[in-house]
Amino acid sequence: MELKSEVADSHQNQKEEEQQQHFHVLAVDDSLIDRKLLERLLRVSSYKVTCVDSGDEALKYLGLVDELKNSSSSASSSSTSIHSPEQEGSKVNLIMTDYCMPGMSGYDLLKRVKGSSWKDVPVVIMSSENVPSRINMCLEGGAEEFLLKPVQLSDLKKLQHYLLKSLDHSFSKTVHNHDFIENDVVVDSDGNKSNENSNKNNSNISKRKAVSPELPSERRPKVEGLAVV
Amino acid sequence: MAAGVLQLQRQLTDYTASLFSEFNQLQQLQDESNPDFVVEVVYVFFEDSERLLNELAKTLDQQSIDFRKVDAHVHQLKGSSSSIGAQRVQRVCIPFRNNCEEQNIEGCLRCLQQVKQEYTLVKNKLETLFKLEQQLLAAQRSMSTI
Repeated sequence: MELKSEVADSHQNQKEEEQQQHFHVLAVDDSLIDRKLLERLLRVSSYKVTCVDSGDEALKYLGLVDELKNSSSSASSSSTSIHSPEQEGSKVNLIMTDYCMPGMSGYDLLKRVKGSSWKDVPVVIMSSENVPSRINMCLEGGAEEFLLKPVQLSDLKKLQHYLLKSLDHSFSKTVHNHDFIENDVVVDSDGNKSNENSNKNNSNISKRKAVSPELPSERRPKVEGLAVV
Repeated sequence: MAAGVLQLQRQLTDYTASLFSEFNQLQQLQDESNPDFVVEVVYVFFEDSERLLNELAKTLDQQSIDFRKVDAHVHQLKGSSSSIGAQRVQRVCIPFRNNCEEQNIEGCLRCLQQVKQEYTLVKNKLETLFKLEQQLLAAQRSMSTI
């Protein structure tokens, strides 16, 4: 229940607006074409997208590289990580990764993520090859879904379900709801600010396909800046 | 003048329809906010494929052929052609990979020729498509300035 200065408010507003209006997907694929296509598919579906070209880059973005070195259990938001989520301004709600990549495979990345503080983030694996044993291995490894390439718009509909699920868990690293005036700002141990999730957000998400998630008419800028209960 | 535009439009529609099954998905992703999406992706595909085809020719030209490397390149080409909807290119990659597995040099060289042919075909189709689109745009523009 902090009252912040107006200047800080408007800056925070902009950041929070970006975070709050779209689910943020981290897309991992070594193929430039597939990255471009996936990025477009996700944008058309109103998701925010960050693309990286390898598992290593994905781990860096998630701030997990330091974690591995220090074997600490919390997501590292230390100063050494340039790509830490807070500095990027967005949390990751979903990871979509190609299976077959040089170096770290999608499965390797899956295991790393599931063994970290990002373990609650749904991970989807994509592959151009339909290999049942591979699919089973990934699903058993904790992947929410296995998609065959080329990924279609209709495939992305399945993903909404997992994103909604992650909201239900009041997962602190997911979308904030700015449609309510009343927001509890919670500062967790990592220094991340997040808002309590609400049902209203869910109904917005289910309409996501038909309607842009931006609902400017419902926003009330004056009150937004204040963290008020 | 209007008749010319209509004719171009019909040509374009017919041509697009003939490519429909392959590139439909790509077309769906294009809209007013990203009017150049298809062109951009396709040109990435061209560059990527040509690079891979050159690599393949080089790798297969070695004294001692690294079949794993050949296979890796074909796998990439198969993936990108599949993603973009170039099904004929993708299809030829399948026997290509089998030949790699069997370490069959002749088979690989044959497949390389086939892939090149299919790639050239699809490249021509797409370039024709883009040219038609541009002609149509130009005609429409000149009409609107009358």
